[in-house]
Amino acid sequence: MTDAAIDAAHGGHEEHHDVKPVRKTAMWVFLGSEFVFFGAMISTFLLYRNTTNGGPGSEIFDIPFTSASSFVLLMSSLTMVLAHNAFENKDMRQTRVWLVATAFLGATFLAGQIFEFTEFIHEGLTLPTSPFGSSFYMLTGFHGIHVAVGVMLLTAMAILSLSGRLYDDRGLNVELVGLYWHFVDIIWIVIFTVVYLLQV
Amino acid sequence: MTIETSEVEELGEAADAAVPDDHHEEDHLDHPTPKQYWLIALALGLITAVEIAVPSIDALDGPVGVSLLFILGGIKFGMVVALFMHLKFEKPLYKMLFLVGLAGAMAMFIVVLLTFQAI
Repeated sequence: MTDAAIDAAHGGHEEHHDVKPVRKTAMWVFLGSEFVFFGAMISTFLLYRNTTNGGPGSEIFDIPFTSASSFVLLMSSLTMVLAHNAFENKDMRQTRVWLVATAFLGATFLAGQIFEFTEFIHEGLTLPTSPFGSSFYMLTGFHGIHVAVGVMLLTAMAILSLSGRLYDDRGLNVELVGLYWHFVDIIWIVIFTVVYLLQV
Repeated sequence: MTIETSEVEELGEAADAAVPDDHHEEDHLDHPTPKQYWLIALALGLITAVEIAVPSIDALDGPVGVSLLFILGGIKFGMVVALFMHLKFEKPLYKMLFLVGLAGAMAMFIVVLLTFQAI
């Protein structure tokens, strides 16, 4: 047997190697680093929460509205885990239903955040108004960007499942997108408590 | 270098045998059922309702209310991580990676606030 044939045999065998744990480990490393990213933003907000420069402060928060948004995002974690459960049971139809439901709930949360930002801007709180405004918009805005990325990933998953190209062993699968989505949810749990409830 | 085809095949078979095909199924054997997921979500919703009520209760003003909000937020955080993200059922490596990230964030939080004398 030639060396080329041996390489081909090895290459062929490598295709059978399971890379799923590697990708999952990479996702956990990524999420760990994201903790530090959001930790820095939350620390900054706490530093400047009282520095309003005479502009609006936390009194403009609409807690009932944000609570409803928080509940929507929390329930999207339920639909996400149900999508993952259906995917593991190889029920593609249910997987698609729950993926679309999760994307819809995520989009609803985003719509609420855009509405909230618009209201705050009308009340005089903009990014350059004060350190409070800057740190608030940076923190909640970056979280919103994460939600938007999640909604795009979920939509892509749902579309891929329509054409039967939703695989477990390559690319971003339902489990990895689910981990990302739940992470976005737990970060909001912290933001909701620290930024909104503790300021009231 | 010459290796018989049969030797390569034997090596491949041995390697395949070392990696069980069904380990993915084993990964999620202990995961909650859909019904349990709904119950967990119900519990999360109830905790959120209590959280929203805390700031409006006069008796819970001050450190008591703040502590309660942190505890309730912590419970929700833990439930989502352990049961929805399945970290409770995961390998120690994933738990460690999660905790290292969390500890890093907490350390940064404390260092930043101490540096600027905010606590």
